Amino acid sequence: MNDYKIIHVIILILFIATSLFLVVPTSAFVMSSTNYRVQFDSVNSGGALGTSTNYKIEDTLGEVASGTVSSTSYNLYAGYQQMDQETILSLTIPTSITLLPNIGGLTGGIAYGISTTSVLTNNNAGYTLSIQASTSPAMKSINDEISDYVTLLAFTPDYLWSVAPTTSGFGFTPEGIDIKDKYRDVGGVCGGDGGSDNPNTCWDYFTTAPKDISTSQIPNDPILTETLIRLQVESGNQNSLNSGIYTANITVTAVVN
Amino acid sequence: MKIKLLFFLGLVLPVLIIPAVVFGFTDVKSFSVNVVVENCNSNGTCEPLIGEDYSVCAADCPFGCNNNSTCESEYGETNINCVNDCPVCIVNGTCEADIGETIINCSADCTTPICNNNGTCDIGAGETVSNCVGDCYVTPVVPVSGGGGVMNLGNPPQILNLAVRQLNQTSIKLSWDTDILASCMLNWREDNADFFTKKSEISYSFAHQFVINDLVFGLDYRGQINCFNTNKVESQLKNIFFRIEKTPEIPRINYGIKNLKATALDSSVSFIWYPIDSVNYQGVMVRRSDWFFPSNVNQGGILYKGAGDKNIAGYFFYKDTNLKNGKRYYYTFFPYDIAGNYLPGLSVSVLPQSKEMVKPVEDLSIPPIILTPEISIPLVKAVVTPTPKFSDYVFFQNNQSVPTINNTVKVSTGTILSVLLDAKKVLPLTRNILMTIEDKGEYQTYFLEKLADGSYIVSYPSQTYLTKQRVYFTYLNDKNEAITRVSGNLLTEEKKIEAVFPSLVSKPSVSSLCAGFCGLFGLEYHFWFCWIWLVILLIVLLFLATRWWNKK
Repeated sequence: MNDYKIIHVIILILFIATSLFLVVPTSAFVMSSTNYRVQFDSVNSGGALGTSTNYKIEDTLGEVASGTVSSTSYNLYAGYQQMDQETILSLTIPTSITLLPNIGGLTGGIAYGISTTSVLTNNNAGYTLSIQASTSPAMKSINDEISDYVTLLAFTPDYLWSVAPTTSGFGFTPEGIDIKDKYRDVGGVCGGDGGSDNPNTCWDYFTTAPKDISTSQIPNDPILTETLIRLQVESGNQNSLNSGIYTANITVTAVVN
Repeated sequence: MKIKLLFFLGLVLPVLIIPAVVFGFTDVKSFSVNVVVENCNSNGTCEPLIGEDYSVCAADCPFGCNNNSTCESEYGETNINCVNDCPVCIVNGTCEADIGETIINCSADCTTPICNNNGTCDIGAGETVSNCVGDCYVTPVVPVSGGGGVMNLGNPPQILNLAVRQLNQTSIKLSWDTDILASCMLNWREDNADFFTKKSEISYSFAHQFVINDLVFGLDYRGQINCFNTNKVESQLKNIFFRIEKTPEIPRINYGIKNLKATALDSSVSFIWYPIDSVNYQGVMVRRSDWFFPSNVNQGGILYKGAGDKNIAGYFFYKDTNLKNGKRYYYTFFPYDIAGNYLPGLSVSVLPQSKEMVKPVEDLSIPPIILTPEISIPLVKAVVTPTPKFSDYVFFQNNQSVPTINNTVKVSTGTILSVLLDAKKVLPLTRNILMTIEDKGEYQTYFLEKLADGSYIVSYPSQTYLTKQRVYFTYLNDKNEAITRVSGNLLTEEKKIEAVFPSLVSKPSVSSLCAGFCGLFGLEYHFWFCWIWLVILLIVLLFLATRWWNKK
C-alpha cells in the first residue's frame, strides 16, 4: 500500500468517526399547552421562515429595542433572534459511591451514602433530571441480590424509611430545590404540592425505567443546581445475605425541557 | 485538490464539529453504588453468632490452637491441630484415624491392634518397639566403633509459619506451627548479650506461641526455637532476629460526629450529623454567630446542647428556625462524650433563603463574586513570616504518614485521616487553625486541636468515595481574623471496591469519549481540560500531516 492509499484510509476513518458524532439536536419548545410549551415568540411587523434544499432562514422585521444587554448578574436577550441562542446542558455526577458502614450478612444493618448531581443549563425552559437502574433488582452481587425498596403505597414514596426484619431494601430519596413534588412532604406525607424537602424523607425504589426526580422551568446558568440523591440499603436482622460486594449501576439523565 | 478537500473533511471538520456536539440536549451519565456485606466485623473478637469463623473472618478468628480447653472450630481448631482443646475421640463406632483416633485415645471406637504393621513406627498411635516390632524395630546398625543399635523415634518436628508480631512498645508475639505434635522452647537474648532467656511449653501441640515482654525499643534481639517430638527428637530454628519499632503516636481521633450537613431553608436551617462512636456519643453543643465562626466552646451564643433528634436512618438532626433570609449564619458543633469532654468542633455556615429566590443571595461583604463561605473569611493585611506551606501539614493514615507531592496527598477511602502541624511550623500569631475540605461544592470545616506541645492536630474519617477534594488551612489570630491561608489537594483513591463502568447510552457520549481520551493519557477526567487537549492534539495532527503532505 503506497503513501497515498494510507492517507486515503486515514482520512476516511476520521471522516466516518466524525460522522458518528453528528447528532441532530431537537429543538426547544415554543408553545405551551397541556402538551406543549412556547419557548419564545415575537410580535413584530414582518419576518418568515424560508427554506431551500440546503438552507433554512428565519428572519424577523420591525422589532423594537432588540439586542443583548448584560450586567454582572443578568443577561438581557431582547427580541426574537436573541433568544435563539445555543443551548447548554451539563450534568456532573460521581463515578462511584460506596455505602457505609458495611452490612452484616447475618446480623443485618443499614448502609448509607449520598450522590451529588449537578446540572447546568441555559435553556429557558429549564431541565428535568431522571434516574434509573440497569437491573431489577438494582443491587446485586455475584451470587446474591438485595431487594429493591418497597413502598407502602404504590407509586408514592414512603415518608420514613422502613424495611421488614426478614427482608432487604435498596432505595433512594432526592433532595434539592428542584425536586419533584412527589418527593416533597406535607404533614408527614409525601407528594405534597409545594411541600417541604425534609432530609431523609420520601424514600422511593429504583426501576429500570427512568423516574423523574427533579425539574426546573427556568435556566440556572451560571450557578449549578445540585440534587442530592440519598442512597440507602438495609438488611433486616432476620434476613440473610451472602457476603460480598453488591453493586448497582445507576444512570442519571438530564434533558432540557 | 480532492485530497486536500478530504483532509479538510477528516481533520478540520472534527475540530469544528465535536465541540458543537458537546452542547447536546441530553446528558446521560452513570455511576455505580456499592455496599459491602460481610460476615466479619474485624473487631478483634471472634463472634460465631454473627457468622464469624476462621474461613470468613481470619482477622477476628485467627487460625490456630489456643489451648484454652475449649474446642473452637471457628478458630480452626480441630482434634488434629489442637488435641488439648478438641477431644480426639468421637465415639461413633468407627475408628477415624484421619482425625487422630487411636486405640490409645479412643478405645471405644478403635479396637484394632495398636500395631498396624505398615512399616512406620507411629509413636503417636501408641506403636512402640515393644508392642510393634514389625514397625518400630530397626535392625541394629553396628557402628564403626562398635556396640549399640538404632531405633526409629520419628522425624523431628518441622517448624512452619513463623510469625513475629509487635504487640506494643515493649512486647512481641512469636507464633509458629509444627507439622507433628511437638513441645517447643524459645530462647532469646539481646543480640550482643551473653545469656539467653528461655521459655518452654509443657504440652504437645501443633500451634505454638510465646509473648516476650519488657523489650527495649531500638535494640536488636536474637531468638532460637527448639521443638521436640514426643520422643524428644529435636529440631531447631536459629537466628531469629527481631526488634521493637517505634510506632508513631496515634493522634487523637475526632470520634465525635461526622458528615455534618446543613441545608438552607426558608428562614431556617436544618442540620444532620452522624455519631462516629455511638457508644460514647452523648451530644453536641451548637454555638452560633452571625459574623464569625465560634472556634471554641466559649465563643458565640449557645444555640443548642443535646443529642439531637435521631431519625430511623441513624442520623441526628436539629433545626434552627426564625432566621433572616439572605443573612449568613456561622455554626460550630462541639461534640462531647460521656465524660463531658468536648472534641474539636465542626463548622459550617449557611445562608437561609426562600424558595422564591432564583439565585442564592450573595454575601454583600464580598461582592461581586460568589465565594464559598468558609474560605471567604477576608484576609487581614498582615505580614506573615515565615510563609506557611501546605506541605507543613503531615497527613497520617493507618498510622503511617502519607507523602505530600506537588501539594497533593493521596489517601484511601473510608479510613481515619489525621492531619498534624508541628509546633515549630505554627505561625507566631496563630490562635486557631481552621481546616476546610471542599468536595464538589460541599464544605466541611474542622478546627484543629492544639496539643500541649503547641502542635495542631485533627483526625476525621476520609471520604467514602473516590473524589478529589480541595483542602484549605486558614490561620486565625486572637480576633478570629484570617491572617493567611494555604491550600492543597486531597485525592481519595478507591481502596477495594471495583469500579463499574457499564455502557448505558445508546448514542456515543462525548463525555465518555473525552474521559476515555483522558484515560488514554493517564489524565484525570475534566470536561474542558480534556476538550482543550483533544482539540490541540487534532491541530497538531493536522499541522504535521500538512507538512508531510507539502514535502510530498
